[in-house]
Amino acid sequence: MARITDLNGVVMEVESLGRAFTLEVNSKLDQTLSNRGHSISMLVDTTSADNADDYVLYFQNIGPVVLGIGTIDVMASDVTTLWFDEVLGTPTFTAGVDTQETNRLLGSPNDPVLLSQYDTDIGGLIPFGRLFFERCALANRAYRVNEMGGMALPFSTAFAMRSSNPAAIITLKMTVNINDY
Amino acid sequence: MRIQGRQGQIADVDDSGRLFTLSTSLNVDQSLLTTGRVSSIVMENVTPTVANNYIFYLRNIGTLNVAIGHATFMASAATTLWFDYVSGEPAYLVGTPVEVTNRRLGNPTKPAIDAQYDANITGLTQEGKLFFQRLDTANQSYFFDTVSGITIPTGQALAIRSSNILAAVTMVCSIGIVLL
Repeated sequence: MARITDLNGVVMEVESLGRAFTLEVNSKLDQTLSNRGHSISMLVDTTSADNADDYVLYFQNIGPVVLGIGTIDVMASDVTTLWFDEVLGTPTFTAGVDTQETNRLLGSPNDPVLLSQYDTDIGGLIPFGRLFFERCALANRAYRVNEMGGMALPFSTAFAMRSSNPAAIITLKMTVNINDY
Repeated sequence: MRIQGRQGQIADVDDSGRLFTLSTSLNVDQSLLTTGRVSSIVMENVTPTVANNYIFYLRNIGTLNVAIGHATFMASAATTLWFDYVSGEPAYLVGTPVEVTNRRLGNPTKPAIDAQYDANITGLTQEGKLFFQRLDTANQSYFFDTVSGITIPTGQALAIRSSNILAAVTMVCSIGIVLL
């Protein structure tokens, strides 16, 4: 019968119920992706809605690998409710600004292939289904959208974010994962 | 016997006989997301006509188990929500089907459920109380995590009741199709 040994001949133990002893280093998915240069911080550096519930952020995967959206942290200068919707259609912008992406493996050239812009009123979109919401109940406090699995965007799918209060200036940081696991 | 990697590395065993491993773990929701088996269901601005009326009903009408993982709630006034295991046939004043959106965008898979919300859902018998969530402050979101999940086999149902007739309740809840 074969036994598993290391280079020095130390034999792996198996206990009385047949379970092999292991010493495990456990890495969460986000940590593994970050170590590979596949985890990106995406930043919206302030936007607000022209009118209540205008879309202010548009995000579409235009690359070959599924993108995963992990944690979303938001802050608003005034009370507002943010909804994240799956959307169809072609976005139109009045003065669209590209979101900023920074790889969490510093210096890595890996960039997700995406179209991601923010604006005060993104038109041309058709809501296809609501995914998450977050209530920014207090001004200038950070809130985390607590969705443990996040969402996954295959090629050409898109979501958008809308804000209920035009007086709220919004800052957002989102984790974007290149999901090649 | 030794375990060898592609570049010739040998798996190590410590002095206590433990094999060193390095594993990446996914939480259940992340795992379900890879195959399009988790969706958001949305209920918006529903107020009970009488305190502790059922305002939400969900029954599994498919062949696979479904599970509620976690939810985000908001209400226009303070209220307490209870998740109950229920039996019986629901009767609605109006009845609005919940909105269901797969969290793997573009994936057509939907859980096979009968789920509606209403100001007063009757005809249900409470079989047991599962969880509660207190929404203390109006217009503030609350994250509700069941930790274990609520598994709903074929034919079984749960319902949510709300204590305050002045509170319009909004919910986004995760629902997964469970193959385990």
